[in-house]
Order: sequence, then C-alpha cells, then structure tokens
Amino acid sequence: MEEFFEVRTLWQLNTNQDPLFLSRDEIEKVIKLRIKKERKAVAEYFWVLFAFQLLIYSFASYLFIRYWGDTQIVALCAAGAIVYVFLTIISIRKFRSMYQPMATHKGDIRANVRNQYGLLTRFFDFKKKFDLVAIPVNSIVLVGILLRLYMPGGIESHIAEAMVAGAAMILVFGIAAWFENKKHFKRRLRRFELIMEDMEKSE
Amino acid sequence: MDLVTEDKFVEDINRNIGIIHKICNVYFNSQYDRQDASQEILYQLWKSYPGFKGESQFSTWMYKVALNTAITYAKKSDRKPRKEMAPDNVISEGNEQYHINEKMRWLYAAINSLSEIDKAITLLYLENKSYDEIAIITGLTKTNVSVRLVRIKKSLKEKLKNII
Repeated sequence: MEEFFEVRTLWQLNTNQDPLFLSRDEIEKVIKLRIKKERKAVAEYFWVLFAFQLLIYSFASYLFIRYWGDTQIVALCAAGAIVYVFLTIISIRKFRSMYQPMATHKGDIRANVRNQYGLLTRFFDFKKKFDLVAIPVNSIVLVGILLRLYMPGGIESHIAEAMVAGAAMILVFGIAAWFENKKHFKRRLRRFELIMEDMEKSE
Repeated sequence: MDLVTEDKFVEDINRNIGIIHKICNVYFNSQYDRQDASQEILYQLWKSYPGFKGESQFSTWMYKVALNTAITYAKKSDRKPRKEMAPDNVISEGNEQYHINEKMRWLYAAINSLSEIDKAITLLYLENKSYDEIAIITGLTKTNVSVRLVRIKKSLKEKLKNII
C-alpha cells in the first residue's frame, strides 16, 4: 500500500529524532517523585479514613461514657464503631494492592487490562457491599442516638419521625456514595470494559 | 535495584527513550497529561525492571510496559480531541520541516481517533515491529493483528487522503 509506505517513512523521519538523553540523576529524581506521589495517595486515603473514624470513635466514646448504663445508647455506639473497624483494615489492604507494578515482562496488554479491571472490580465490590451495610447502620445509629438524646420518649415514641429521618439520611448518604462510585470506579471500569470488548470482538 | 542494575537501566532506557515520547504523543492530548504519563511510564519501567530477564528484546519489553501504563493510566485532564502538537521551535511556513510537522500533526490526530488497542497496534506497526511481536505485546492473535491492521490502514488512509 503506497500510502502506508509514505506514512511509515514520514513517521520514521520525524520520530527518529529522539529526544533528550536522561541522566541518572534525572531518572532518580522522577522515580523519587513518583514514589512520593504513590505514598502520598495511600497516606491521604488512610488519613481521610482515619480522621473520619476518629470522629466516629470520639463521638461514640463520649456517648458511651456519658450515658453508661443506658443500654440503647451503648448498643448503638458499639454498633457504629464496630462497622468501621473492618473498613480501615480491608480498605487499606485493598487500596495498596492497586499500586502493584502495572506490568511484568510476561504481562501483555490484554492480561494487564484484565488484571487492572479485576483489582478495581474487587475493590469496588467490597466498597459496594460495605456501603450496603454501613449506610443503613450509620443512619439507624445516628437517628437512634439523636432521638434518644434530644426527643422526649426516644425512638419508641417517635417511630414515624424516626423512619422519615432514617430514610432521608439513607438517601443523602446513598447519593454521596453514588457520586463517589461514579467518579472513582464506574468510569474507569467502563473504560477497561470497552478495551476488553474491543479485544474480544474480533477474536 | 542495585548500582549495576541501575546503570544498566539508565543505559537501556536512554537507548529507547523515544518509545516513551511516541506513546505519550499517541495516547495523551494535553501537554500536562503527556508529561505526567511519561513520568509514570518511567516509574513503572523502573518498578518492573527487576522482572526483565532478557527473554525478549528490551524494546519489546519496554513497549509492553509503557503501553500497559498508557492504556490503564487515568488521565488527569478531560479527554479532548487533539488540537495541535506544540512544535519544539517555530518554523516558517515555506520551510520543508514545517510541512513535515503539519503532516505529523494530522497523522497523530488520525491515530488518536482510533481505539486504545488500535492505537497500540498502529504505533507498533509504524515502529516496524513484526506481526508476531505485535501479537506478543498486545495479547491478540497474529491473525487478529493482521485483520485489524487492514481495517486501521483503511481508516487512516481515509482520514489522511488529502494530506499524504
């Protein structure tokens, strides 16, 4: 194909003028920068989770001590705190696994895309399951505590209000989780799916 | 990585440094994304280098790692069609290099419109990689590579018909 001979010639004429030589120091600088960036991403994820949990634990501990003897408050605080213990451990472990080298000498593009897709899917599946449990539990715990502390008669006397408040809280948390999932997972997963579909369709 | 390996790594990378630039030009539209991705590719190469045992050519291995990184790397800026590639220096319109640069811009824009995998196949083909090597790097069969290349050539020919 004549046109392609010309395209190839043009490509080689132009791209053979290879760019700058990278000194050892420059390469080291880039690598250090990326290591720092990778650690920062993991650390940021950890600290955001940690700060959020610190708030939950502080609030739960305060109520736990302040209302010691009130079975309902103590149970609600314990339930809220326990849910988050698993989150930190599993999330950090799964998040770190996404920073494995992207490819080895054996990994072709197809295998690597599948691998990246698998890693992200597993993390996303875990997060979805966690949200499914944590959002209703948190909402119930928060509504239960608020009604118990600030409404005379507690949750037993305000069942309808408690249900409305609980549903509203679930809705708000649910919308936040949906946007977060769309931004961090769904778009990337869809991109990987399109690449895999493209690779499969002509096989 | 020990000192000997580090020296070898620097030497190997510099012998094939053009691969990183070509891949970034094909896959990323903005200057920021290209710079960020080239750093990420270098980092992934460094992380994966201890696993390179010389079973294939260094350039084949480097293409594999660099393409894998470019394809799976999340872009920071929005995906927009390529408008233009920043020239290294200003060249007057009458100059032959100006026309070559113009043609290259069109060629990059045409390649950029292909799917992620077709971009990789085109790049490897233009780099004179054999169908076998392209199949090894992409994970596709040799027949599939050949079929896709016919389609890609047709598509590029159509897009570049008034240019080249």
